[in-house]
Amino acid sequence: MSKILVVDDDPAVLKLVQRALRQQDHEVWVASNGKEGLEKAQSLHPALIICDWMMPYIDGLEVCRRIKADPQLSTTFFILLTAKIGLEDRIEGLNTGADDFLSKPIEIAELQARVRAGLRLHQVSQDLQTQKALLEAELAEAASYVSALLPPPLQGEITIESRFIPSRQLGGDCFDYFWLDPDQLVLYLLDVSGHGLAAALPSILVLNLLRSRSLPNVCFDQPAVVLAALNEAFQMSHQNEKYFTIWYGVYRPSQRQLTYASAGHPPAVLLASTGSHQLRTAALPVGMLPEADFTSAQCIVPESGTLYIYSDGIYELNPSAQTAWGLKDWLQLLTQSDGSLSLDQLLQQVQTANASHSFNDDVSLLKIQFGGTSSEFL
Amino acid sequence: MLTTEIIQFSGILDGTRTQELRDRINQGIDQGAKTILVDLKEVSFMDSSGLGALVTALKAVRAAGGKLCICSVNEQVKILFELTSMDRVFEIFRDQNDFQQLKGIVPSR
Repeated sequence: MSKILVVDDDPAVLKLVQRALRQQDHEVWVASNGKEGLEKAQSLHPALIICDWMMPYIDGLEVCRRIKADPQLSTTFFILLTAKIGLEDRIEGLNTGADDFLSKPIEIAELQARVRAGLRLHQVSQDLQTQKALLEAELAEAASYVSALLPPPLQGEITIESRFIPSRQLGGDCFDYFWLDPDQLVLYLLDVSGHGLAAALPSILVLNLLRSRSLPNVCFDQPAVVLAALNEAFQMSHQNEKYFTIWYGVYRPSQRQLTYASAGHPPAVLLASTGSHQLRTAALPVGMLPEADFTSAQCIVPESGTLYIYSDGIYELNPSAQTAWGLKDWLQLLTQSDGSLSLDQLLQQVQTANASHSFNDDVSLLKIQFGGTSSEFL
Repeated sequence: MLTTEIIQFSGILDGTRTQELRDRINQGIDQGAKTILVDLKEVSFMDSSGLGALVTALKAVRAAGGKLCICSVNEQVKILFELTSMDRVFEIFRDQNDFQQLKGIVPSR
C-alpha cells in the first residue's frame, strides 16, 4: 500500500479525494494548508502528493519547490491540483518540479488513473535508487577489500608511509613492498586502466602474483624482467581491454642502490639534498602490446633521500574543469615541499590547488625515507 | 589511390566513449581507408580507458593492413602520450595541415 498525502485548504476537496483513493486501497493522509503539508511530507515520506495550487501563505508551487529540493523527498511524485490550466501555468508548474496536473473540478476516474500512473513511476525511481545504493555499497566493500590487502607502514631504518584513497567509482590502484632478502626491498605501485571492479580485480590479481612470487622463472630483483613477464601474462586482448601502468623498484641498502623500471607510469620523485630527480624508464604500459620492451635503470640514493611513488589520480582531479593543474604542477609541489610535508599535508595542498574536496580517480601515494648511513644494515 | 579517413572527436574521451571510438574507427576501416587520422583537436581530456580504446583501434587498423595517425593533441593528452610512450606506437602530427604536408596525402573528403 502506498502512502499518499493530499494538501488542500478546501475540506470538501480533501474529503472527496480521500474517499476516491481509499476506495483504491491507498493509505491517504490529509493536510489543510501548505505548512502542515510540508510537515506531514517530512514525517510520512509519501510516495505521492496531490497538492492544491492556490492556497493562502504557502501555495502549492512553493510546497512543490521545497519537496523537490529535499533529497529525502525529491522522488515523491507530485501532482498539482489546479483550476488554472493555461499553457504558461503548466510550464511554470513543470519547471518547479511538478510531475503531473489535475484540473478542478476533479474527475474521480481521472484522479484514480493519474495516481496509479504516478505510483508506477515512483516505484521505478525507488527501484533505481535502491539499485544504485546497492552498487555503491558493493564498490565501497570492494574498496575496503583492496585497502585491507595493502601493506602496513614499514618501520625501521627505512620507513614507508602510504595513502590509498579509492574513488567513489573505485579505480584499479594498488601497491606493495616487501623484503626479498635482508638486502633487497621490492617496492611497486600500479594503476589498472578504467574504473570499477573490472579495474580492481586485475589489480588484486597482480598484487597476489607478485606477493606470492608466482611468475615462473622470474628474478624479482630485476625490475625490467618482472615487467616483461607481467606483459606476457597480461595482454590486453585477453584481459578485457585492461592494461596497467607500473613503477617497480628494488632497493639494496648495503650499496644505497635503487634499481627501477617503469611502464607508462608517471615518474617517481627522489628528493635529496642534491636536488630532485625524476625516476622513470620509458616503456609502454603493461599489457598493451606484446612486443613492448622494458629497461631498468639505477641510481644511488643520497643520505636522507626521500622517494615518492604515486598514481595519476593525484594530478588529474577534475577532467571537466579544464584546470591547467597537472603533472608538472604536482612535480613542482613535491619538489618545493622538500620532503618536509606529511602525506596528508601534500594531499591537502593538491586539493587546495585544485579547489576540490575530492579526487576523481583512485589516488595512491607512497613516501619512502631511506634514512642515514648504510653501515647499520651490515 | 590510397585513401585517408579523418575522424574527429570532442570533449572527454573516457570509458563511456570507448565503444563510439571503436565503432567510428572500424567504420573507417570498412570503408577501405588505408590511413586513418584521428583528430583530437576538440578533445579536452583523455583517460586511461580512452587510450586503451585507441590502442585497440590501432590493432584493428594494423590487422586490416592500414595505419593509424593522430593529430592535434592538447597538453594533457600530450603528457599522457609521453608517459605511456605512445610516440613509439602512433604517428603523431601537430595538426591536419602538418599531416597532409608530411604525408603528401589529400584526404578523401
